[in-house]
Parts: sequence; structure tokens; C-alpha cells
Amino acid sequence: METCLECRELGKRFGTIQALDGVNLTVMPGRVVGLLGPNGSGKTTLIKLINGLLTPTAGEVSICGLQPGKESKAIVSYLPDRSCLPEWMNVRQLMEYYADFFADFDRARAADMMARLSLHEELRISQMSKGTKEKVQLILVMSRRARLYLLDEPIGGVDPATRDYILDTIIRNYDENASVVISTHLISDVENVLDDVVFLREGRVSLQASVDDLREQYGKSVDALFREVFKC
Amino acid sequence: MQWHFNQELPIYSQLVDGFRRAIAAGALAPGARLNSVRDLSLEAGVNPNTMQRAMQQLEREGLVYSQRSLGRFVTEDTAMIDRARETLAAEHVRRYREAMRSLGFTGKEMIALLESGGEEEENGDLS
Amino acid sequence: MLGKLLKHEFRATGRIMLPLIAAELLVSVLAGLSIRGLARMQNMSFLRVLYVMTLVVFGLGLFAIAVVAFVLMIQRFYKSLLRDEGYLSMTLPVTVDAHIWAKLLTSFAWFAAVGLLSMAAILLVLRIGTDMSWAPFYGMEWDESVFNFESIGGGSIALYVLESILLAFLYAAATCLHCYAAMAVGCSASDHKLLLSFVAYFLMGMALSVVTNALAFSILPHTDVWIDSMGPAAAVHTVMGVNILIGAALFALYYFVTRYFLKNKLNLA
Repeated sequence: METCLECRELGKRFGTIQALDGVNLTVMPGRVVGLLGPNGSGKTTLIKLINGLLTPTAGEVSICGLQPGKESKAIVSYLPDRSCLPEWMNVRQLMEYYADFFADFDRARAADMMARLSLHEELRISQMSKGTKEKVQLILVMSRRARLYLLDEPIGGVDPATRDYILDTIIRNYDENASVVISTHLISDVENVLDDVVFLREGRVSLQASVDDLREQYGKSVDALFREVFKC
Repeated sequence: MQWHFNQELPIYSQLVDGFRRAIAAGALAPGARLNSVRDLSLEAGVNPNTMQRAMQQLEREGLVYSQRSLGRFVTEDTAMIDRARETLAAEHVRRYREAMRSLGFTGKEMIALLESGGEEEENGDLS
Repeated sequence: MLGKLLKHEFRATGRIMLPLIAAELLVSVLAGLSIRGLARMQNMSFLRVLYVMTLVVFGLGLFAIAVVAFVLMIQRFYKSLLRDEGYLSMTLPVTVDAHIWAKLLTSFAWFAAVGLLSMAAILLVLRIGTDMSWAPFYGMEWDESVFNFESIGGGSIALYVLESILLAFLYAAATCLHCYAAMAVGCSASDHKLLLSFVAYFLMGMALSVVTNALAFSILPHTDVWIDSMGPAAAVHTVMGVNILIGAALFALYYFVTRYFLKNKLNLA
């Protein structure tokens, strides 16, 4: 079976700072992978290398066999860790924007999800609360039929109801041909929806295993294990 | 079904356990159709792959069976459901015994207590 | 994909430019009426102040729109590619070239629109404010010598016009790309992105002027004889041609710096 994501000896240096070093990672289709690590461990850098926002200084990335570029961007659906939607656009214009550029965007699905949240098509991004913006962004990202979803801190700083909505949306849109990579430092919240976890520590992969195997092996939650591994 | 997971145990085994209990207790009736894996995982808030794995385990145990295109059903074999129920009961008895022994009760005292003090604990949860 | 980028780029800029253009056309009509009003009145009055103010607004308006078009050229590139919106635009399945051309062509279209607006607005003021016909130059007696290129040695009018247009386009595009390149370079740093963009702008400008001046000083003294040996027309065409080449070189240089940094050194905050 073809991998959805493969990183080989991937490294990124910013000046004198080695943000990522020798990362090897393979994600098979249908897997939901948690990218876990404290702040500054290289989670966002890794995601940006995969979606082409950064260029590696060592090693390589392959998304379904493609190097990061125009073709890979067509099959990667990316949720950044911040609001990146043009503030002046309204919901309808945003959906049009996504539909124009992403052939795999399912507009009917997006419209349905927007309607469920009572988000009127004429509502502008600038009129929305922070939480609503995050939901809109998630809906757009999850309404694509992509091969690889990269969700950077999707539940950071949201209220519990929004968190549940986000996790629900991720499960609801599960596709066995696609993989999902979720980066977060709030492990206990996402543990149950993950197949595998990857621990990042100072730019290196320190552990990669399935959630259930870890619980079986250590008799504790991944969150507890994480706290132990990264004890200061 | 309401799910409460113990964060220290594998989710997969807790799912299998939960369904086994529900079938044994009749909360899932013999022959009842189960929801799709996607819906079940949404209800439980777990990864669909994990739910799929739990279903496959239950199929191996014979408690559920799947019919192509129709979906997954609880077994109609009531003898098998009874056996599952007895296995669970035996497990509860074993745990009760262990707990009571550690408190220093003998077998007869345990039975006497169950018969007399049972009512007060009627709504208690032994698990 | 360039077409779609252009569509959304025009949507993003049009919502600012179109109302401004419409407003300026309206002010032109008012300015024309003001001229008529002023011609009819002798004494100072409140109305007179209002008329004069309208004319001032008209003039400043044209200037302001040109400034807005220029600022938009810079701001659209910076905001939509190098700031938070870049997280979306730079992960679209689009090449870096398409992004650069979309910004460049949109800016050019608005520069052209501002040029046309200026002409239209001035014509409108003259038409309404004076007794001039719609085509003020129609039927005018032209001094034949204007079109007589004998004075500069003859040559094709079409070629001169073509060269001038090409030159204007190349230098305008190079000016835009100079700004783009400076931002692409400055924003590749992790901190002080804006400050470094300005620094990059001036450094690139200075470096290139040093190079072109050095070239000019080393080559020009030796070209006198060569230029003198040509006819006047050939000399003008040669100077134009050299300028076009320099413009094209600047364009290419800034383009590739922009492209390289957007493609390989992107570093969104």
C-alpha cells in the first residue's frame, strides 16, 4: 500500500538553530496520527515542511509519492495554527475561493456544515468571534476530500464545546484512504481519536507507537506517559 | 450507549468490554442491527479504526456478525449470549470474593451479607 | 490557475478601487459644475469657497487614487503572501510564478485604470465646466512639424511609440518587482521582517545603480564615435534599445530574486 506521508532524515535549520533533525516518519492511509511535543519541539516546523511552507535543509518529504509542490498541495488539506482567512471575505466567497482552487472541495458538504452552525452565507470573517473563525476554517479544511490532512493545534485555546465539535468533525469526515496528522500539546483531549502518536523532542522523534499499544505496555494514558517522558 | 473510558487501559479492549456487557445485559437485543462503524465511533468519540478493530474482535467471539451490504447485527444465538452473561457474572463474583476476602470475610459471611444487606446496596454499582 | 488567482485578486482590490473611481468620476462632474459656477460669480461667498474646495478635492482625489493603487500593489503582495493569509495562499496548488504574475498583472491593470480615469475625469471637467466639445483635440489645427520626424532624422513613428510603451511597461514592472523582491527577501528573516524589507529595497536599488553607473561610465566614453557615425534616427533607436535592455534585465533580475525567495526561503511568522 502506498504511504500517505513519508519523511526521510528530514532536517530544518534556521541560521544556527536546528529546528528539526533526522526525522523519519511514515504514515499509512487511514491512520490518524498525533504529533505530540512541548512548545518549540518542532511540530509546526515539521508540518510546514510537509505542506511546502518551508524548504528542508536536509532529507526529503514525500506525500503520496510527490515532493512538496503544486501537485502535492492539491492533495494536502492544511489547518494552520492561526486564522489565515481574508477578513473581508464572507462565507460564500470563502467557499467559492476553496472550490476554485481545490478540485477536491465538496461545497455541498461545507455549505451543510456551515448551515448547521447557523453561519449565514453573507456573514463576513471580520464579524466572527475567534472560536467561530476556527470552526469555519476547520469546516473548509475538512470539506476537502484530500489524501493528507495536516491539523496544526486544532484544539489549542478553544472552549470544551468547540473542542468536541472539532473532534467530532474529524471523526465524521474520516476517510480510510486519507491520513490525518494532528499536532497538539493537549494530549488527553485527543488521545481517543488517535491511532498512533509521534513524540517530538527538540526536533527529533523520540517515540512512535500506537495509542493502545502504549496503554497496554505502560498501563497508563499517553498523556501520563508524555508527562513522564517530558518531565522538566 | 454512554461511554466513559479509563484513560489507563487500551480503548480497544474497553470498547469490546462495553459491547459485550450491553449484549449480555440485553441493552443490545439479539438480532439488533448495529450502527455503522463511523456512527459508533462518533457516539463514543473514538478513532474509527479502533472501533473497527473492536467490532472484528466481537465478530471473532461470535457476539456480532456482519452481513455484506446489510450491516452488522447482534447474534441471535441466545445460548451464546447467556454464556457471555455467565462469564461476566463469574468475573464479578470472583472480584467480589477477592475484595471481601481481603476484608477478612468467610464464604458463609459473604452469602449472609449479600442476602441481608443487599437491599441497601440495590442501586449500587458492583463493577 | 492564473485566471482564478486574477479573479480573486481583482475581487480583493476592486472592492477598494472601484468605489474610489466611481467617487472621483462623481467629483469630476461636481468640479465641472464648480468651474461654471465660479465663472458666473464675482464676489466672495460661501458658495465660492465650496466651488474652490470641490476643485481641490478633485485634484487631490486623482492623486490619492494613484497613491492607493501603488500602496495596494505593495500591501496585497505583503499581506496575502507573506503574512497570515500566506498560510492559505501559499498552500494553494498554484506555482510561485502564478502568484507573482497575478499580483503584477492586477497592479498593472489598476495603474492603467488610474491613467484612463485621469484622462476621463479631466475631459469630464472640461466638458462640463467649459464649452469644449467631447473631443477637445478634434478639428484642431495641428502644427505639422509635431509629426515631422525629420527634425530627429526621420524614422517610424510606430516604432518610437512602441519603444516608449515597452520602456514604460518594463520600468513600471521592474519598480513593482523591486518592491516584491525586497519584501520576499526581508520576510525570509525570522524577525524584523518589515525593517529588513526596507533595507533590502535600498540595498538592491543601490547595488544596481552602482553596477549600471559603473557600466555606463566604462562603456559610454568609448561609444561617442560609434554613435556619431549613425544617423540621428538610428542613434535614438539605439539609446531606446539599450534602455529597453536595461529595463528587461532589471525586470528579470527582480523577478528571479522574488521567485527564488518565495519558493525556497519562505518563512511565514
